[in-house]
Amino acid sequence: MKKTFLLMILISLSVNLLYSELNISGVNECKYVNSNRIIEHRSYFSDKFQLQAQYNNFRASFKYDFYHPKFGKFILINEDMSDAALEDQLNTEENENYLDEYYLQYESDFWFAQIGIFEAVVGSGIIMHNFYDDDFETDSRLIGGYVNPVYDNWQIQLFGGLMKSDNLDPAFEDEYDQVGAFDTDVNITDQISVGGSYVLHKEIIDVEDDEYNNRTIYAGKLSYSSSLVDLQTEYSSSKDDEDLEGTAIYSNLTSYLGKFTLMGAYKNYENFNVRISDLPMVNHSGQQLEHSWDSGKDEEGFMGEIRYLPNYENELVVNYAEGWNNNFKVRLSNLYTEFKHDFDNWSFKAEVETLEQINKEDANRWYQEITPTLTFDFLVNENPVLIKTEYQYKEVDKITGSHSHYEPRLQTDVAIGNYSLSIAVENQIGNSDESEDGDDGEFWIGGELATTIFNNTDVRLFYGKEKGGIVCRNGVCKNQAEFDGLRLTLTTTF
Amino acid sequence: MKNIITIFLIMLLAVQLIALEKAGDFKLENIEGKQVKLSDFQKEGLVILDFWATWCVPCKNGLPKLNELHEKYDSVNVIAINTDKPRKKSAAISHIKSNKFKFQTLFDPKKVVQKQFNITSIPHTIIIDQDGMIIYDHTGYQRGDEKHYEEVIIKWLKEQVQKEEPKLESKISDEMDIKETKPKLESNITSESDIKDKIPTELEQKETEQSGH
Repeated sequence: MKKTFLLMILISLSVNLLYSELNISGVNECKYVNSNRIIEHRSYFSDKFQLQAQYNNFRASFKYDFYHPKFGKFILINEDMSDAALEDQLNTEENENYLDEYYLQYESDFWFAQIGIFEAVVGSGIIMHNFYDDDFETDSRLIGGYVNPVYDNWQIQLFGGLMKSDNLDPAFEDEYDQVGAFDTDVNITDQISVGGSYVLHKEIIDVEDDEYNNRTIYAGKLSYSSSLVDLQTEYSSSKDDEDLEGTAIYSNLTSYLGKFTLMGAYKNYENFNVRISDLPMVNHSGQQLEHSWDSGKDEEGFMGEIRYLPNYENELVVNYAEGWNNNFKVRLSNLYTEFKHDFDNWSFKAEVETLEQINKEDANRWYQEITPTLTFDFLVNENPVLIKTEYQYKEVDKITGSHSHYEPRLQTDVAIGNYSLSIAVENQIGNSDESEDGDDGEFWIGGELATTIFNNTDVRLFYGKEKGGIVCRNGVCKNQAEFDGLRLTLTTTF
Repeated sequence: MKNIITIFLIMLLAVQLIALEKAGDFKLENIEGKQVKLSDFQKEGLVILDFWATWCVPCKNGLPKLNELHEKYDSVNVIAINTDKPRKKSAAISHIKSNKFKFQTLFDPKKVVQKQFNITSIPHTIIIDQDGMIIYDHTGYQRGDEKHYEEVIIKWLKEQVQKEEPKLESKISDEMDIKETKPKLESNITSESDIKDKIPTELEQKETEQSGH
């Protein structure tokens, strides 16, 4: 009894000592999906649990994912498939549970270090950007170590790790590429900084012989920042064991001239279509040069933007971009215009975006879309209401024929107290043979109800059909894949 | 032994529950390329952390409202944490500078701070008090949400005034003691009403401004 009492006191003391410095938090995302995609009422359940503890300068975290089974957002199925082929595809959706992420970090005034699974960035992404994107199910995170001393006028990044191979051959399932990098930035003055980087990417190409293709990257960066002008420019050069040489140039200049902001950007990428690079697309809509064109393989382009803000109430934006490959057979042009007026209790925004892509190099395809959009945002008895209307026109011309159609869309979001409701209706007028489009007269109707319970749990219930892309509902934006069915998401932070 | 483990687990859980609303410190690069810490701003009062990206329309709609709060309250600092990929960093800088927002903008390209604050969707707004406690946490932005943020600010300012009152009384009492013991200093001692006048009356000023609008 005496020992128990002593132990209790000891524990109590330790807890009290820890209390002032220890911070434990986390998030749990629980999702139920009932999908009507080709086969009706297929159920999926997932739970993602993340816990982290911070004590003085240290932070430790882990994330565990549980899928029963995993919902394949981008699984390649369609109505024309045979039952056997459909079943084969759906069988790839298996029950899974695994430790998705774990790390231990140390952070002081001048040092940051970590071991475990982490994301890494060098420059604007042309040199290197290893990351995890849940929306697109892409994962190039590293498992390894990272050190980052940061002082007033300089900083260094030094890291190395393993990156899961993206080779789809089953033999590569448990294989890893190796990545190492050294990156430094020096502030020459308060306004000018320069930097240099070296990256080595060893891509596994033969499992049996443990053979790698070594690709080395050297890069230089320059940036200038003042109240009038911002300049960011990067040059990167690569060479691999097969003597394939690559270059990437990205430059961005913005000047702030009173009520006007002028921006110009330029890109030139050759043989930089590699997994560890996340290249700026240099157009407003963030589109790759062409649907089937490998980003970074061979492309050049520019973007210009004029932004006029005469006062806090009005904004006018005109953005234009052109992109092309070496022989001009693959091209892109993108124009975006926006006018926004903010009244005291409501706002109005008009946008028009046109996108044109041509590929006469390897696909003989021409594509155009024009999207005018009007958005009204106002209050009714202190309750926010948003009405958004789109009337998108799409036209495709390719070897198999030409198609054009309209996709009118109306979205209304209303919030009353703790509840928000968003309903969107989209129709298709005209036929298309593109897999992502529908048939003439087809409707996509979907609604989401959102609320918060217990102060720390967000509940979102969606039912209906929606097209993919960036979807903003009830004041929250997500990149969604095309969906048909019911989706219930509970996100609890603690 | 079984009891000890049970007690330990209960205490551990209690600690978790007590500590759950505390925000840890962090350091990120700002728009000028300098490293700044959250704790530097906490000293000045409330901190509103707002996670946003250039592709997120509600995020961009909320930024002017946050800038208004930042400019309106001296003891409120807004820190907008940009969650764009590094390839969009220049677009984020351009958006902030062209709109002439006065708040701090920080960049989190490796998602270190997003993970620290368990951010799964944007926009996400968190209000942290001087002790590092999270007093408000909200996902999304819809017109009028800024009024909820302001309610939290006003409530906090009122609490500060209430906290100041006992200190003020004690200060007055101390000075009164001095007055009794050191009559020569009498001319230098301010009256109770004078001292009260010198207390930051930001809340009253803001309330007057609000009623004026």
